[in-house]
Amino acid sequence: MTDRGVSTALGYVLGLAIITVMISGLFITTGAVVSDQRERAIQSELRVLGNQIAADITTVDRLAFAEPGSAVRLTRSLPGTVAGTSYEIQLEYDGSRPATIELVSNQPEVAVTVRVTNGTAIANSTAFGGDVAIKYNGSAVVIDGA
Amino acid sequence: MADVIPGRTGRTAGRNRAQLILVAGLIIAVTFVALALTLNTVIYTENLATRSSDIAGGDDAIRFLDVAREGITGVMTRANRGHNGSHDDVVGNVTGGIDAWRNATGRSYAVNGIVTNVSKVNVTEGTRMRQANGSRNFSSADGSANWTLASDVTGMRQFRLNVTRTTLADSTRSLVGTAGVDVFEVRFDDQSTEWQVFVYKNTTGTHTVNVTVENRTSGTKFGPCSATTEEVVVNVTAETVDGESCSALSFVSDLQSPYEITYHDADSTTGEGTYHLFVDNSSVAQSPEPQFNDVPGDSPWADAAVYSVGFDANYETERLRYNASLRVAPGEPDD
Repeated sequence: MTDRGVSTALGYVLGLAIITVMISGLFITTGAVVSDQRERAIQSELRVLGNQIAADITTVDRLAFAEPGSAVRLTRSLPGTVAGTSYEIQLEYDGSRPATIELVSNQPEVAVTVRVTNGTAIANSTAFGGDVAIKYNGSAVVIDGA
Repeated sequence: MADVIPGRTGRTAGRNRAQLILVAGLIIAVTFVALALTLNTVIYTENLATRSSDIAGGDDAIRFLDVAREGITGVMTRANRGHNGSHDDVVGNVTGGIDAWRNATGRSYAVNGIVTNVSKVNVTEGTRMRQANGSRNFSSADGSANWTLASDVTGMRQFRLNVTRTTLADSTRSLVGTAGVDVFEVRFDDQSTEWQVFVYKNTTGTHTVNVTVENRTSGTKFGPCSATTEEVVVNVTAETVDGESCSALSFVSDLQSPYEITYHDADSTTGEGTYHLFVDNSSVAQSPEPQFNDVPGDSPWADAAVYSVGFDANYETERLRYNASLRVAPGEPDD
């Protein structure tokens, strides 16, 4: 009868350990699933937004191309955040077509690149999510906060 | 503190267990909420993606420019058509027409929430020259066979000659331009090069109307472009003969400004017909005589006209703002 206390203590510790390990495992795996799904959601939304910006750039490009020396300003209301994180839009053109629109979310950092081919020049420019304006000022297409 | 494992502390034994299960349940609940929010984002994304990404009225904006260009061209053509006593009169008519056009179209676009505007920027005054009597030769009003229609010209448009085949002089490609051969000729002299456009009928065969162009400076000949109808339209600025493209006339697009337009050998033996052109030199209309008549309808006649109009067109919707500077001068060589 003297070893009964030992058995109880051992059983208690073992039980505690097993349950802790199981709950930790659950915590880690569900956390990973959630953050993975969130990244994928951010990625697909950024891709949609990138394509909408590309459509607008194409519109501005077409209008600018139709009448040289014209001025065009096209605004678009984009969501300020995607899946709860802010993001940045970078318009980049190194002189060789096509130009790229890179959308980068802040936390977690997810980057999506959309290409856009255009006839007029594009100047490197950056805007943050929210209301943006795509402008043509007579020389190049730029993106800017509205 | 409660026991995590069934305890033996008297009355509470067996009741205070399962806190860890509770924690696990909480974690799962939070996970589900997070997943639901993520799903919401995805649904929103799909919604965004399927929204019409209407190209923000880009098509309509370009259409508006076309409409404006057509409208202002119509205003200008209408103002030029009648007899205008002075350049001030015709410019006043064009300005009034543009204002009326702007108000009418502005209202119809405003119904759809679109703001449009057209504002006149500048008007180039010019001269309209016209011979409407088809049984007159191409001499000047005072009967000169070699005469200047306009000098110091930097732009001409809608230059149409309508010649009657049977009245033209007989000649051939090799003979035109040589001494002693009288053939009706329109000459363009831009100081560096002289271009001669000969209009005659062929000596042999079916006596087709031929248009041969010679670079008088280098002696090179182009053409001829031929037509067999009785009344042949030589559209110099559109570079066509009887509606068919005539590459020999392509020099018209490359004339250096300023240039001079003259008629040579224009008498009763070289051809009869009508012609019509606009030049951007307003001085001819201000003192047309003696080359032209000052009486409306007499042939040939020079009158005050508007050569071209430059204007700003604005198109604005909720999202789009588009400003363009346009110019209309219908029937210019590059038009």
